[in-house]
Amino acid sequence: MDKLFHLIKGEIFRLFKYKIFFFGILVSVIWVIILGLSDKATAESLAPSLVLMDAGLMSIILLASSFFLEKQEGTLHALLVSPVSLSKVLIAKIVSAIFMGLISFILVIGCVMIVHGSKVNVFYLLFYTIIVILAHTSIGYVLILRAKDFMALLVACMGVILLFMSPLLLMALDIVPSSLEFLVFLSPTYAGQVLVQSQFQMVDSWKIILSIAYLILIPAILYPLVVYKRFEKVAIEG
Amino acid sequence: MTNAFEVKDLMFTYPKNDKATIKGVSFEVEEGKIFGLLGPSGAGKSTTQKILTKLLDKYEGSITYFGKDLKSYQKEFYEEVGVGFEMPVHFNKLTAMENLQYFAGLYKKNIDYVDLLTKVGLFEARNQNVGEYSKGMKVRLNFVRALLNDPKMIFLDEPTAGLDPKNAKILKDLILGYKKQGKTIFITTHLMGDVEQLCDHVVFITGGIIGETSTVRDLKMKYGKKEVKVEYVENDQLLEVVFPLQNIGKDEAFLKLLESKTIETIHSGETTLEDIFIKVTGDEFHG
Repeated sequence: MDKLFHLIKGEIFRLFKYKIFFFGILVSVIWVIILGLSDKATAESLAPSLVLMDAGLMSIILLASSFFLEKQEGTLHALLVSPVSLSKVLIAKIVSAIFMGLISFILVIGCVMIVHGSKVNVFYLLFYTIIVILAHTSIGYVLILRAKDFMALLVACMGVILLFMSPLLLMALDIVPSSLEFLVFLSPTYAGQVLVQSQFQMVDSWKIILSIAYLILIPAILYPLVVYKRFEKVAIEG
Repeated sequence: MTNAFEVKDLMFTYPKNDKATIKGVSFEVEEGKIFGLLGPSGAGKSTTQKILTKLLDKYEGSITYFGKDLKSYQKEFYEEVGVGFEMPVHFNKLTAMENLQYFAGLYKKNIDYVDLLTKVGLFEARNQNVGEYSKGMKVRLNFVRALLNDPKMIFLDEPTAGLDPKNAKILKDLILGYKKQGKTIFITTHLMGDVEQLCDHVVFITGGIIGETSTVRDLKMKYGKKEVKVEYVENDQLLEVVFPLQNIGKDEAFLKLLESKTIETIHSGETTLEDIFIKVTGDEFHG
């Protein structure tokens, strides 16, 4: 446990030193300014998408930049020949991604609550944000560990973002009939959107339950069965 | 005599390769000694080190570490093993101290790394970002990182590559000091100077097989020419004559030459390890 705490501390410390934290906060501050200048209704309709963007998509980019820097520096090799298990190394990286997502969450939701007086259940929203981060980072890791370099990852990310965002667009444009809405839940971004939105407007219970189950299932399958094995292979090969 | 490692008929093939990289290698690494694994690039040195440090485990043959199957060791193995990679591995945006504090925190036991940092001449630069270090400074910091946990088994891959003679000597003296403390050191290198000065036992590996295994002295005896070359001056001319080493003390011509001429130099036909390296590995390449 001590070693896991040490690894997490190290990951978060490096987020500061490598200025990844700074850029993450910068993006969140831009969101805060936009929300602060908007009226209450606009801010409440924008906030879920912004939380989702930071928790879901930004966390993948931040994880990737940290991963490729480490790959370049070869530091994963040094961890492999240390007494800490690779699963702890991976957990520390996930926790650091959650940490970044939560900072953004605090800023965005804090702004909506303080500036506009919106009432949300912070604990539910916190839980939803965490499972959104876990689901997206697990998919992100699959892409990161298959990408040759950062550029290749960005291209893959663009493809995935397009894939995940398209259901939202199709629903918004009424192209997908409501009878087929359950298919749109295959997009984790849509599932996340539904959860975060549920704190600002009424959402059917079945949609919330389906979204929670799906967003928990994705990391529960991907992390142990795909990401861990691939992470070990990439770490050894360098 | 206890062996730290006993390697028998080791074979290893990378998953994407058809041919084996290591082809039935056997050797022993004696506790408290410095063992040198020598060979040209692509000979299988790094693969062998990766196997011994448990980074690769799908090998054939048997390896024991202090009498126990290497595969039976879990992560606790690394509490007593230190690994210095050829390419220095550090977080470039962290200072040397921040790097060492981070890696030291992964082990139960730590050395006084500020003291070692001072010995390798990095104390003044301890709060400088590693990204600003020269190659030599990174190599020295890499050495300190490998020893953070006070390991009893030390793996060093090209430990002095990229160092100036002064700093190379500091590191070599430290390595010899660790040997005196009873630590076992496994060096992978192609720098013959290091091997001659450090290693008790050497193994030449080439093309994934062992070319030669012996002590440095025995190798020199085996491959050296058993002769004595004398350079002397006669009529203002530098001349050279070679005598067989056997019974040199009774060789009248040799003794007469010593008595009657102005001797400039006397050399035995001792070969350098560099020549042996070329003989052993070159034969394999062209044979």
